[in-house]
Amino acid sequence: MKLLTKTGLNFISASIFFFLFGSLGGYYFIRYAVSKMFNNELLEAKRQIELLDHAALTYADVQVDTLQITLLNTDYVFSDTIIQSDKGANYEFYRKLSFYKQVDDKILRVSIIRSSSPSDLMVMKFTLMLTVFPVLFFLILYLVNRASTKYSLSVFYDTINKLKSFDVNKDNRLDLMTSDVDEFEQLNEVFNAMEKKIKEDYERLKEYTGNTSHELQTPIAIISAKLDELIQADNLNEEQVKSIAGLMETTQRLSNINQALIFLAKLDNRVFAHEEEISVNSIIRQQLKNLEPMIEEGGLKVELISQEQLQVKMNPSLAHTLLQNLLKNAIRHNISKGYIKVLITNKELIIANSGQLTTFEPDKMFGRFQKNSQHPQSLGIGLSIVKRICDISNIQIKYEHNSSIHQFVLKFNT
Amino acid sequence: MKILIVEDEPQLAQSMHSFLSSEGHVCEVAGDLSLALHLIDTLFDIIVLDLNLPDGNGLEVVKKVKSKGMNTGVIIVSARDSIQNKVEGLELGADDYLTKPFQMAELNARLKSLVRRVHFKGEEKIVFNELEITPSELLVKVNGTPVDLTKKEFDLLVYFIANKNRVLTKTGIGEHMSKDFMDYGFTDDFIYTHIKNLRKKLIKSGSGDYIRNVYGVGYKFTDVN
Repeated sequence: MKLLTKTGLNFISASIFFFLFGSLGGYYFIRYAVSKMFNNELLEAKRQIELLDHAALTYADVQVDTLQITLLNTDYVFSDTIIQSDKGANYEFYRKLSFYKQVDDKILRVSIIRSSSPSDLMVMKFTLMLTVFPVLFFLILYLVNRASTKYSLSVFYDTINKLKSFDVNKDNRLDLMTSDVDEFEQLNEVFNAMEKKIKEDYERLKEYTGNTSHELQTPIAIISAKLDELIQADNLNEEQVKSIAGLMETTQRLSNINQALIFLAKLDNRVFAHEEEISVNSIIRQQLKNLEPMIEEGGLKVELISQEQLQVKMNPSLAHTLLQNLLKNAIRHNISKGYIKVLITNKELIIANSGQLTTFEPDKMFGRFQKNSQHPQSLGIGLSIVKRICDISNIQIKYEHNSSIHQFVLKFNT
Repeated sequence: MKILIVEDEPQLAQSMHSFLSSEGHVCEVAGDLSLALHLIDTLFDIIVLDLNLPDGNGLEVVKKVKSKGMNTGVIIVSARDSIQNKVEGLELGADDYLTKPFQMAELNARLKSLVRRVHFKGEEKIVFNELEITPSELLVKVNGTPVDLTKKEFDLLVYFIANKNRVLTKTGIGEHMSKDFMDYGFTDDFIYTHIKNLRKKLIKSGSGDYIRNVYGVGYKFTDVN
């Protein structure tokens, strides 16, 4: 629930509650005050009657009954009563004062009544006023308050939206709005500081990875050179040659991993920012030609269906690396005498290949160093490079597998 | 050939020195930029140049060589492998760019190709017994008869002859052949297939069988028994 809705609901439900009680209270209070006024009037009438001067009364009717009882008390009683009017169907409300009086040996009951209809109407009107005006008043207050809160919150929502789209990998700054609300201003200051810190840390981490990889190159070069020197010696036996060759192979692998990591670091550092219009069709054709020896080696059948031209704006060297990695992946994880199917439309590229049943979860496909145990030579980093390139070049990539068919679907934003 | 090795890592410099000396070159080693700039006042045929030197950027050497109009070939050997670095080096006038780590055999092959380009204007033919190779025309002749080789096989043959009498591991050969395929581990079968085809074609055209298998881990191109 939005903050605005939440506070609005609280405000409204509290208002309804208090108005209900407030107007009820108001109604009873007014009624009490009015009946007090009547009582005073009736008492005044009583006083005048007792002075036997009731001819002067203009505002009340007096009724005198003679009762055959003994006078018990001399108290007087106020009550409300309804009396049918002379004209028939109309009932009217009256306030009535009854008291008993001993005149000679007779007991008289004197009832003074006074119509309360006009004042009831007044009470209703007052109560209505007491209810409607505050309701209107608070409604306006609520709307004004809501608009002003909404305006103040706009900075907050802006901050949230910007944080949502925040990507440590992207170059842009967070650029939060300034606010005249202290709390939001503080919040934005904290976020700005945090953003700076995160970016700095990330930069340092990237720098560290890059430097480490670069620094590793020279020692690896030395190892490789020395091993090469060793293996050229004439007096080595078979075991020794095999050991050294094994070491050379391992060193090569180490170097390849390192180079792949350097490449990833370069991707992260946006070394490949330059973009131009390229044709996916021709790059695929070119790469398939380059990879022909490997395709032949696996006895694979390649089917290229390029119905339409797919023109994309991206870095050409990244495009080559991307498509080469995907094709190499399709070749490497294929079965003997399998097939590779490449389908190009004007928005999509699908590379499908036959293969073994995979134990991979599709989500994990693009993680670094995820590899198939059947291919110890693979570094498990190629698809991670593919994913990075796709992220950078604004391409959506999806991996699907269906029993023994694996396919990568690339959606380009042309 | 007179070669200057500019490399600040003594171990690597020593390896390159002994390797190039064994190939019959005369070598000198400079461990830093100032020494290198001092040494190139005398004439060298080739400079093997590292870029990250303790007292500066190795590109200064390229600038000096080119400004003096010396006919000296420069091969940059660097751990920096970004395209910008390569382009910058090559634009300044370096002739080739090799990324560390590298195989000695690879350096050797590049060196020989550079010598042909710089000092023989690419006209030189590589001759090995009855084999005659014209790199500029991708032409191989056995006893004067052309042999039809694929680009890969031709490349492989030139690589083998440049590194004759040396043990070349399958990994090294794979690396040389897969220059364009970053991180692709070529399978041994793949290399084997290409070498087998090359060997078959050469023998069929009447050449001697020079490609020897070394204990199943590599190959050696040699006419010595």
